[in-house]
Amino acid sequence: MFLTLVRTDAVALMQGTQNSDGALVELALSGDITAANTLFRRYAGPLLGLVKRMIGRSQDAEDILQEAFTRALEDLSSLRDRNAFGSWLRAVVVHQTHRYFRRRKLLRFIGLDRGIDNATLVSLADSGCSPEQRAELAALDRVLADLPAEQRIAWCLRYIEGEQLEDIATACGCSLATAKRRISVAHTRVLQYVNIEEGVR
Amino acid sequence: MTSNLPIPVRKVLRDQSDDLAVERVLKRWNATHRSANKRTRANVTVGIFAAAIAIALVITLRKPAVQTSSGSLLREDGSAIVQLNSPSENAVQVTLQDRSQVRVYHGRLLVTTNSSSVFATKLEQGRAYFHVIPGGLRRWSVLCEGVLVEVTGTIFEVEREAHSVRVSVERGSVRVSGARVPHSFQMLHSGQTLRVALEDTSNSINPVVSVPSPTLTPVVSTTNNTSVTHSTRLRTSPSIPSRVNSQQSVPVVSWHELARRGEFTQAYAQVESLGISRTESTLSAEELLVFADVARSSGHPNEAVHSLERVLREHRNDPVAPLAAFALGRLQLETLGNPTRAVSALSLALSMGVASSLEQDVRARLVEAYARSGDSAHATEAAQEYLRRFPNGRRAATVRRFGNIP
Repeated sequence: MFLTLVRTDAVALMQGTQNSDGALVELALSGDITAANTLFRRYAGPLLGLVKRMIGRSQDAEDILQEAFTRALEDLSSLRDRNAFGSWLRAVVVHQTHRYFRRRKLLRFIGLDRGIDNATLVSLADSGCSPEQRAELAALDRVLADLPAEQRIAWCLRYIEGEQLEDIATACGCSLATAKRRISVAHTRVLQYVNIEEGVR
Repeated sequence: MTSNLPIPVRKVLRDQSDDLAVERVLKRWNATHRSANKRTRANVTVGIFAAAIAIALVITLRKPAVQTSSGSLLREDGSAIVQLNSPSENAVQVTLQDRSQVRVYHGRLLVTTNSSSVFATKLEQGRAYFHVIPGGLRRWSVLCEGVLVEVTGTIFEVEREAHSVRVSVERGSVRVSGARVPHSFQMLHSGQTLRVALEDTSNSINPVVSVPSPTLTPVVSTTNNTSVTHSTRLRTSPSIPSRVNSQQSVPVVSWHELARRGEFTQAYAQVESLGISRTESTLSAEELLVFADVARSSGHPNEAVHSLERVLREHRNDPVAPLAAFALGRLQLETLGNPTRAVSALSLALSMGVASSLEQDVRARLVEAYARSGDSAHATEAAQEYLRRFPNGRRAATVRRFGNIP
């Protein structure tokens, strides 16, 4: 009887107006895996796209997302503002992406890098992209591949995703000044090889 | 049509919504999450027993402690050490409870971390001399202007000069790392000195002078925290040139850099000269993996096994641990001819969760390892699993053969 009542409350919460991130986080913390799935499903699509654009590989992007979800669920109790789940999860994903780049460098070093770059920016180009823009995308792929991971991630968040500097600093777990510096150093390098519109607000 | 890329660049990228991929991720995540819950409950039970046994052993075997209950290293007289200040050229010296000695000349040395495993200091000014007793459990480190010196038992000096940081080794070896250090880190051995320029000299080379380290003048008075009356500045012997002669300079290349260049034999020889166990104890999981590759590539597969097992033993939760398990499995199967041990390692790699890009290789080798160990039933089962996951996998033909599947 008690369990039935608890379950009914949970269902009512999810079906009603109380399906905010905060409410779902509370349920997930109490062990409700359906709530956890709902939460992650909300953000999985955009985050998967984000990771793919940052790393250039679709299969590895799925691994990163899975790992990020696992970490997020483990650390969910540390999230103070339950309604900030989305941005918090994004920071977890960015952190896992950073770790992925470190592993990839190591894999390359010991000759175990089997990944295929099947989600490069040029391969993701829209049909309306001009040939010249495709060439620029290919050049951008090459430049990004040579950047240190933290610069690459920060630059992608800024110039590919169009995020605000404060949000980038939060996602990267660094100060605003550090985020700006990383982006600036990377951008200087990118501009040497790629034609990009100026004037990011 | 414009040729420039817009900002954000996403404007020219197509929508990457992939519902199938999202479902795949969620499905795998749920499966992993359920398995982890089961393992956690079992691990907690095992952990409680292990902790109880460990406590019993500590009570039985504990030797009289020379440190406080927190494990920090104290002065000989039992007082805490927080910093050493020397306002003049006269040295201030302290002897610690493990008989190590530290001297500071005309400067300030702060103790930043002091525990049972780490004694970390920061040289803000002047010169500091360290005589670290070998065999201790602590890792010592000295940080000076972004240059980090790490040791486990040696005699060396660090000096903050006007435009550089000097590290000289009298006995033993030290590891020097930092953004301004050539190749990011260097190993220095007895008789070597490294000067790291502090100005931006990106086009310059920091030569390492390989000359005998000057003998340090002994301190007249060794009373703790009492400044000595005689200057003990490092004096060079007359036979050593005061300026670096570029023909005499011998750049020291780290084993890591040698490995990166593919010079595995030299890399292994360098680590061997330092002591492999001692070096391994200072390495991170990633570095152990690199060293394992050095050992394997230079013809020392058993040493590679030790390094990989060390990763699995001491860095179980590190992200590279699955890689170590895979590398171990390959080594056992392909180099050492131990298919049974290969089965264990490869199975471990799968249970830890290797990256998707490696999973085909791991599973294919597992099939082969089972087959070679004579376990045809499991070989077939593993082969079926491989083919279910990767029906067009690049190793399908081999898997069918070893799994005895037509």
